[in-house]
Amino acid sequence: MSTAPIPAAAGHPGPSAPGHLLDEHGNDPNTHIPPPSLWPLLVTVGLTMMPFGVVSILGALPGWGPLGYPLFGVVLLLTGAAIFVGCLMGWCHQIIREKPISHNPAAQQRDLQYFVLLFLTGELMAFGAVFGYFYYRHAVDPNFGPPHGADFHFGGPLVAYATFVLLSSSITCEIAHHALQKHQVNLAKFMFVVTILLGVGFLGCMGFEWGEFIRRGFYPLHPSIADSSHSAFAAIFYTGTGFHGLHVAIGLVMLFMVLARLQAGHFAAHRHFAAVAASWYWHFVDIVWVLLFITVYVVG
Amino acid sequence: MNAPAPMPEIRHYTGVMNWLTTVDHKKIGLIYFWFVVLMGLVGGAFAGAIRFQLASPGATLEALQAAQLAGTAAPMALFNADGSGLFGNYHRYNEMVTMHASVMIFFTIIPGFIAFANYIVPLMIGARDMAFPKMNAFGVWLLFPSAILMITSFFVKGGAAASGWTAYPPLSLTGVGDPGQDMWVMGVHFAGVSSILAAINFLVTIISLRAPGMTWSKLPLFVWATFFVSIIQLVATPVLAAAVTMVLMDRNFGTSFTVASSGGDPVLYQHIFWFYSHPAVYIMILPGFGAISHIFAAFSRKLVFGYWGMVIATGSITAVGFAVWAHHMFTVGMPIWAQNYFMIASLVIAVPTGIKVFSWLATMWGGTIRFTTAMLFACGFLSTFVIGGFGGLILALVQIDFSFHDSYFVVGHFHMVLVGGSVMLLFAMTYYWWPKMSGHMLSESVGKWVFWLMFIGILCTFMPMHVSGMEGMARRIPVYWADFRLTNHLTTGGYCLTFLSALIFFIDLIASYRRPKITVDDPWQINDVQQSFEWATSCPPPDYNFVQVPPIPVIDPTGGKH
Repeated sequence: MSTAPIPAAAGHPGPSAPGHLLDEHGNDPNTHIPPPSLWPLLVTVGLTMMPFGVVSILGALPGWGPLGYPLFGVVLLLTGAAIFVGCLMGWCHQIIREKPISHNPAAQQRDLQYFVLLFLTGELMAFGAVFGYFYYRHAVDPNFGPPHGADFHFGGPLVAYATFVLLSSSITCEIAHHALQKHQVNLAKFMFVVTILLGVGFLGCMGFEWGEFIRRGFYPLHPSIADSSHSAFAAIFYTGTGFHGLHVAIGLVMLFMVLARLQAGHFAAHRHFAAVAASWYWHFVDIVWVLLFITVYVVG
Repeated sequence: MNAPAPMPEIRHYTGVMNWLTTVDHKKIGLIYFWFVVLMGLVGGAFAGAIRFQLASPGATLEALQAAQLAGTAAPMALFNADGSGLFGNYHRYNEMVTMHASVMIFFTIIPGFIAFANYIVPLMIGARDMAFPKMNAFGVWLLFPSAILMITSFFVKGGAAASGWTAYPPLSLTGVGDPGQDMWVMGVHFAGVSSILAAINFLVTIISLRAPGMTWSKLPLFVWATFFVSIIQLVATPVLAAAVTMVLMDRNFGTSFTVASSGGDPVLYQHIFWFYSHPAVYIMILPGFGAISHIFAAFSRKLVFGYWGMVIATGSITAVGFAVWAHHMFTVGMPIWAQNYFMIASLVIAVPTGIKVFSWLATMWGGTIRFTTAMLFACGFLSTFVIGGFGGLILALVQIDFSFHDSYFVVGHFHMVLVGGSVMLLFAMTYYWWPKMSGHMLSESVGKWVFWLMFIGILCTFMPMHVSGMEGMARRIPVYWADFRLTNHLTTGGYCLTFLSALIFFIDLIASYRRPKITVDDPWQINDVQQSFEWATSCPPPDYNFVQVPPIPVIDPTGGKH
């Protein structure tokens, strides 16, 4: 095997003359390593405080000093959440700030896209457990479904509107993404705003639906259904739609951050990974909703 | 190799801060490693408490019998039903069993393999770091809150989770208001997130950061194994999170997922739980399968026999592993066709596993074998794992499983594959790669003691368990009939040997730092045959691993020449 030219180590295809050519930032591409970061540890510290706050609120830590007082638990929970969110933003900020010193933006973008796809695969499996639970119970228990009462009707026009709203938001999100690729920044901004509004509208519809259902006594512990299969159905209904709603909310935060960065002029026509990730995530949430809608409302 | 130019750092950290801020896969691998060593000792101590309790038949069942037979008083027990023991009542025993399993599975064996994968995989594929270095750091830090939650839960009101590591409802729904079980669930969530993030990171690293020329057909088997295991972790772990979340919600939010009287289904919980936890068994063994291939090849001075056979076998174990989960729960009631299916599918797993075992034997065949400690552990693994595997074949047969379910036969079987398999693998990997990871050798003479004590200890601990189980001793019970006295004495004695060897190993591990630095890249003198990148850089490697991909002519691992 010939020994020249020797390829540089993977991920950083710099000049192959070893150790002498520095890039414009003064780094040697052949020995460049990612800079250190305290943020992952700080985020973990915030995450560690939160469950102990919850346990303390439950009053289960007598004799643990201040942790024995539920009020301290509230403080701990809120502090932990604040540290978690704040440090997560610090982490994102460090990533954005370090963008110029990465050596192979194309490879980095591709890796990030792999990341999002794999992450969504994991998410899909979590929803898969919800669907698995639903269809198994549906198959073995003929009573598994919503109660049919005189004043209670499951489904109806509201959820159809909600579905329509969410599906439209996926289209506007895609238009925004295409506009971004053509560097039509104003159109992209407008369409992201529309997407966010539609998403909020969807959450509003579902929130109203939840409120209506709970008012009419459709929840797992309500006396009229607590001892029947309707209770398990209610549990999976609220868990499935709630878990999905959480994802919509996270997607909205992502879209909002994309909008803010667009306003700050962060994105280029060829490099706007955060926008791509947010739009993929949004489409994923959309697809899951369609599956969930069919499962809960049509089959159930 | 060319001298690296000094690299302008963005920010310098020294001392402890250097470790707290690190995103270097090697440092993170070492943090994983020491976390695992610590947790292994904690889990081992929990096992000690269990064995101490089972050292004698116990106070209640035995009391009448003992008085009748010989008049011997039962020795001091750690747990007694009336709470008079050292650690209180039998509930504590259940907590101890639960936490022994949880610590060993979530904090020792699974992160143990991740520790080595973190350190070795980027080196093996010639990368400078993992694809997402900060996320890698996040993954290891997340294990700490997870472990803190589980271990501190011993001291909260009501004590730790006591429903076994499987947390089957309705048992796990008892004691609502006592947060031990809830803290356990949250701990599993943290460990699960850590596991998923690590899996994504490995997948992207292996797909995307391979050095030029490191094609899929040259990928070392350890990298292949990590790749497949990461797929399992990514796909299965969210399902575990869903299962334990059902328990959390049923306990705290009034849902009825697993409450049969409200239309829920405790058996469905078991299905969802084992959909994760059976593939998790392969998370706990496949990376070691990959690593052990390198060890057999290295110390036989040969190439791995049947490279593609090994890759395909690993892949098929991954795939079939998702379709056999219900063999953990034959006795809960399921249709005959389902029993037959899960029995046959479980037996099918033996085929790729057999391919691997015979390929390892063929790797050694005709080789120039050096019995270093790593090689001894590899050979020891092969024998103990095959014994455990045969136990698995027996348990996969529905008819026999109905007799053996929840007996000590099951306990003996899975300890034989987890301790005789995974833990032996971890020791073999440690003895093989510790020189690379620390830059210091472990003592070979002490290592031989560690191996023989552990090997005999493992056989002595877990073989008699099979006998106890066949005779009818139930698992998870703190007392037993005096008929099982002999086998339980053997088991306790074996435990002592095993734990002693682990302690000797631990002392040697610390002592290794006082030995002189290794000055060569390849202390085992194997890389002329094996041609693996991690032996082509210094011990330990510099921060940037390689200035360039080492210019060694890569031998085709399939045996062909370029």
